[in-house]
Amino acid sequence: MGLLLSRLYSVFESFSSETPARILMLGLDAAGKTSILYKVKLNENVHTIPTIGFNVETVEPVKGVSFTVWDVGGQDKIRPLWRFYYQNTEGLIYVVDSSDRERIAESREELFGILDSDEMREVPVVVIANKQDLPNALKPSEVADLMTLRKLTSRKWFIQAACATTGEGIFEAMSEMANMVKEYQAKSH
Amino acid sequence: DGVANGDGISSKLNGNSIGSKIDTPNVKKRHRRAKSGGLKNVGDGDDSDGYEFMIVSLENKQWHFEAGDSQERDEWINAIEQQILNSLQGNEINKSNKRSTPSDPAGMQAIRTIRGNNSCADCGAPNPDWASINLGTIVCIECSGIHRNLGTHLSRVRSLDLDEWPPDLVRVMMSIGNGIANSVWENSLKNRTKPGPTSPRDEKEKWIRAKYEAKEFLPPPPYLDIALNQQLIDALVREDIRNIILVLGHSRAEDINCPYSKDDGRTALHIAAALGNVVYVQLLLWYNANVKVVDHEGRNALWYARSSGSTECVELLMNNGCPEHPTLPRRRGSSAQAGKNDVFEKLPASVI
Repeated sequence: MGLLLSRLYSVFESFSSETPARILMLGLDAAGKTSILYKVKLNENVHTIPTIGFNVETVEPVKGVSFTVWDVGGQDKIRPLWRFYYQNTEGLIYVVDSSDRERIAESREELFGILDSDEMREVPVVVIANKQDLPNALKPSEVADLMTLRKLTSRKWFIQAACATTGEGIFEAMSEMANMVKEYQAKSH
Repeated sequence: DGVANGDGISSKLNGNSIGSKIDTPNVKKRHRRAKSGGLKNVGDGDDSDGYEFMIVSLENKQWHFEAGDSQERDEWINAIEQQILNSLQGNEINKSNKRSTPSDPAGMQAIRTIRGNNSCADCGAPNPDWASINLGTIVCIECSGIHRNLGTHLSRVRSLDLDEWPPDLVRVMMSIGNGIANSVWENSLKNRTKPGPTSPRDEKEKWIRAKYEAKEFLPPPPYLDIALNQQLIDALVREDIRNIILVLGHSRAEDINCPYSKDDGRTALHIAAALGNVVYVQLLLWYNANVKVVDHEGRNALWYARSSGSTECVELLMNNGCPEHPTLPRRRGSSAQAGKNDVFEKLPASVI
């Protein structure tokens, strides 16, 4: 009986919640965006192939919180298309391959390019320092330094170490995103 | 837990498949996803009205379509996705903050004509259009997904069509190719059967991990009684790309950064820079060559690159943090004259 009641309650709760928050997930190619999306959606390691275009899923990473997550491909020539997804975004998840030291500067350039956009002003950012399981992976503090995240003074940001294949850190990143989005919505409505 | 219940996901799954380029492997992916997502009407149609598909736009507008049968539906999806891909490829927006120049279409075409590049290096699928730049090979999209899981220390994947190709990377791809690479990485197959284009993904993954991670098919280095760093330098000087790849396959960072001998403090990176060969310099950097190492004369790779006159090598080394003025070995004061009489033992311990 207790179980039934709690289920009913959670159904009720999800009805009462508003439309899902629009979350944009970006990052260089092969950072792990699609793996993260489907880890959150299905709690499975899906066999991904490079995303040409985008994936979009509605997920409920935290009880009572619903996100529509847009995961857009990161190859050089499709990055200029990212800006078409900015409008009405309420949270940015930016995924970094922590083991790819060669491209960390490129990743930083792209992140700051996104954040420069007017449509993304004040949108909170969670940076996921992914692939922590790989040899030679940068620690989250090193990723934060190399990405110069401390320059982001006028917006909320957070960095989370993660490994999409084991799921470590993914829930933490999502629940932090949920908090930041709530705050953002309260401020902007 | 923490997984949402599946209300309304059919549209999103379709959005996924429409958004992605669908040649055959992606169609399979869609069905696989559809199954794992537990969907009703998206699969191969248990009931007659199962041949629907949907287009989801950037603004989340949705268009629903229904086809007469699964074949017609797949044809439509193929045609639409081909159109999307064409538009993406035609997208000529250039970035100001990009170091690379736009790819040269002739160069890209030339990569496809290198020996062995007409089929996937790992499963033989025809006309692959993904590259592993550090391996110098071309693979199909499915194998490229597996390569991405290996990590960039083993394979760095780029798209021939959707990424920009700086001239250096084109040169690397032109110097290797599937034929040469497989003559090394698949040299001794020991009765193992290589997967084909239609083999299950798991089989391809096992193969790829055996080939590049466990290096099971890699033959021994050319000489058994000579140190790897000397064999590497020997292959570089002979400009023998096959042996360069082979020795690199056996080398660890310590070997790569080890000076040639007690009297000759030059490492492989110094030699590659002195040859002015940007392909070799790039390969060595991917194999963890240390740009800060100086030789017995206090010279670093940038000094050698400059003396060779190769602006490409100079630029590449600088982009990788090679300092302009080599730090001269200092122990007895920091005299700028350190160069000539310094003996090898005074090399900084940073030669890791």
